[in-house]
Amino acid sequence: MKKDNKLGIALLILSAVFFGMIFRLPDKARLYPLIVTSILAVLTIIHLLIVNLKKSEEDEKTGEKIEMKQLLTVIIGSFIYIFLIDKVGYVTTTFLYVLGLLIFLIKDIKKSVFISLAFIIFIYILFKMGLKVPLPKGFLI
Amino acid sequence: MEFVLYGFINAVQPINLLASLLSVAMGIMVGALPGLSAAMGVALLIPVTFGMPSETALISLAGVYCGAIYGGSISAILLKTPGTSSAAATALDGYPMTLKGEAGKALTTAVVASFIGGLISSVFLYTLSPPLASLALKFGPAEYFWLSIFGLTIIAGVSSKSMLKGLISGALGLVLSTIGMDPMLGVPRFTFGNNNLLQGLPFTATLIGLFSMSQVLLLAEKKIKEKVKAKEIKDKMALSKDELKRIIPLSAWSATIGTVVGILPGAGGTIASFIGYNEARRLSKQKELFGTGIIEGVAGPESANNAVTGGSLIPTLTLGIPGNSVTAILLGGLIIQGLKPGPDLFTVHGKVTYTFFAGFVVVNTMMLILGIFGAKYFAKVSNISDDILIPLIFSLSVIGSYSITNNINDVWVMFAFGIIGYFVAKFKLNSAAVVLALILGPIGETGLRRTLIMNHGNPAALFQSPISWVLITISAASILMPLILTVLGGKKIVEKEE
Repeated sequence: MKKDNKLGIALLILSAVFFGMIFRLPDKARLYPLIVTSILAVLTIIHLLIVNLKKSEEDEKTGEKIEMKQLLTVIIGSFIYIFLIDKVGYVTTTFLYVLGLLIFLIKDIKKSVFISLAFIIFIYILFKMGLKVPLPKGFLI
Repeated sequence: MEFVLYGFINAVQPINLLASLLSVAMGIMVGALPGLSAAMGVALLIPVTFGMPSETALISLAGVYCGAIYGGSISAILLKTPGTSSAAATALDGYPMTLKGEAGKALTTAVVASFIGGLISSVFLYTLSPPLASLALKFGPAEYFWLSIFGLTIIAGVSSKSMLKGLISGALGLVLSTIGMDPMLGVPRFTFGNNNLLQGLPFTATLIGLFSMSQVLLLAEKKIKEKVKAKEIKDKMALSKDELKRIIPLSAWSATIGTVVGILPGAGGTIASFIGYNEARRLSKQKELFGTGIIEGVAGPESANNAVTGGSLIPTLTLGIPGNSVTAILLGGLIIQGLKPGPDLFTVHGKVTYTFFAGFVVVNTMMLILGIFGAKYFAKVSNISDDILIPLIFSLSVIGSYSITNNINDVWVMFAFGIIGYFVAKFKLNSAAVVLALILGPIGETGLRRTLIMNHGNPAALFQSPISWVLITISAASILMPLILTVLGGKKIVEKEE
């Protein structure tokens, strides 16, 4: 499927979700969200029409291949990281997250340990001591 | 006048000097790293400035902005990879200079030109802002409604590769801006039952997601390669008197153009720097030498793109219309500090605003000093590899989005918008337009609904004042002009995409 079609469908789904919710709002509150959501939907339909009525062109070949494994590892790793922050503690999870990803990405354990230690110390000094931001705590710090 | 003097005295207080120094240094590093953008630097700094006095906070944000725009030239000159998109034109002559063994001279030219650019734009900032802000006094709800439409159409029409995608980006931002409490009735809208969203999307977290985390994902999807090491700087950093004579008048001219481009919402550093380069060539007697590595080819774009910084602050501070993503984020920083763009900034909050203006001059001076004496060290930053940046920037995004309200929900919002921002980039939508719509959406909505309530639902009230008509005309023109031009040029709209 063309990239632009994927975009169009995603935006239409989003508009549909919003339309569905608009009709559950009280009468007086409906108008404005209805207008902006309709604008989005209409523009998306125009976009889809232009893209598909135009003589079929090959989807632009993207210059570089997407490193799916690497990208997914970063997204999933980051998701788990945020999930654990307030359960385990910011300092511990951040250190482990940075260390883990660095080992995965640069494959140099010594360097990874050094960078993640230096980074977490820097963050602790800047945010906790300097800016007095209470870092999330869990059963550890 | 009193405020101007006060501003200068306040701006050179040790705390503000320190803030300028550190923020410019951080900005230069962000700019010098090809993976990172000025918008990302400013977004990540907002949480850090949260607890600071307003003027110090604003000076720091401007420091990162100016530093990053200049810093982009370092990697453009040494690596032929512009660190920020606005430095692309700098590479045209900057890199050939490096190949000739004149990297030091190119870097000094870049910083001197950037300094002149920043300085001249600050003159405009001082002189144009107050009258423009008082214009805002004449604005009623109907005018504010049209102003928000104007801001959106112009950014969609001017700065997007495809106008339709620019408009879609704006509409998407508008839809997202309706999340939260209805501003008139207090009814929750689209909060998915989540009480944390009643106040609307947390702005800083949204920004950090759109501009920082999305960048992390864009770095992560690429194969990590050995970086080309930046070339050594072998020559002296100094410029001769004769060379200074060649670049100073040129920089002043480019800076004036750059400031004007900066004032126009939608056009930004990239456009300005190419105009600056072309102007340098047009005015030169040795046109054939451009591209072979001459200082005019570096000075032209560099002064123009740094002049955009001051220029773009003018509509941001006076009317609340940021012309690009960095000033959109800066506007967020302003609002977090409890300051509202408009005439109040120059009267009630005059002390803060004029300290900020003076700070802008100080920031540019710091940039000159750091650029002349530190360019060699900053050049080393551009050698840092992307894989190290991925986890570090993400962790900074997490703590940054957490620290404003100390709420883990904001971190999840950041995460969601990181993914949205990634797809925005992948589908070539315009993230600046999305952010602008998030800011302008509530202004436009309130303006529209107030006008309707005040006039018993009669929409004719929207079309009564001359200011409204001016705004309507420019908005319509910004959409129609590119359309007419493409039709006349025999091209289809879609083909504007790259």
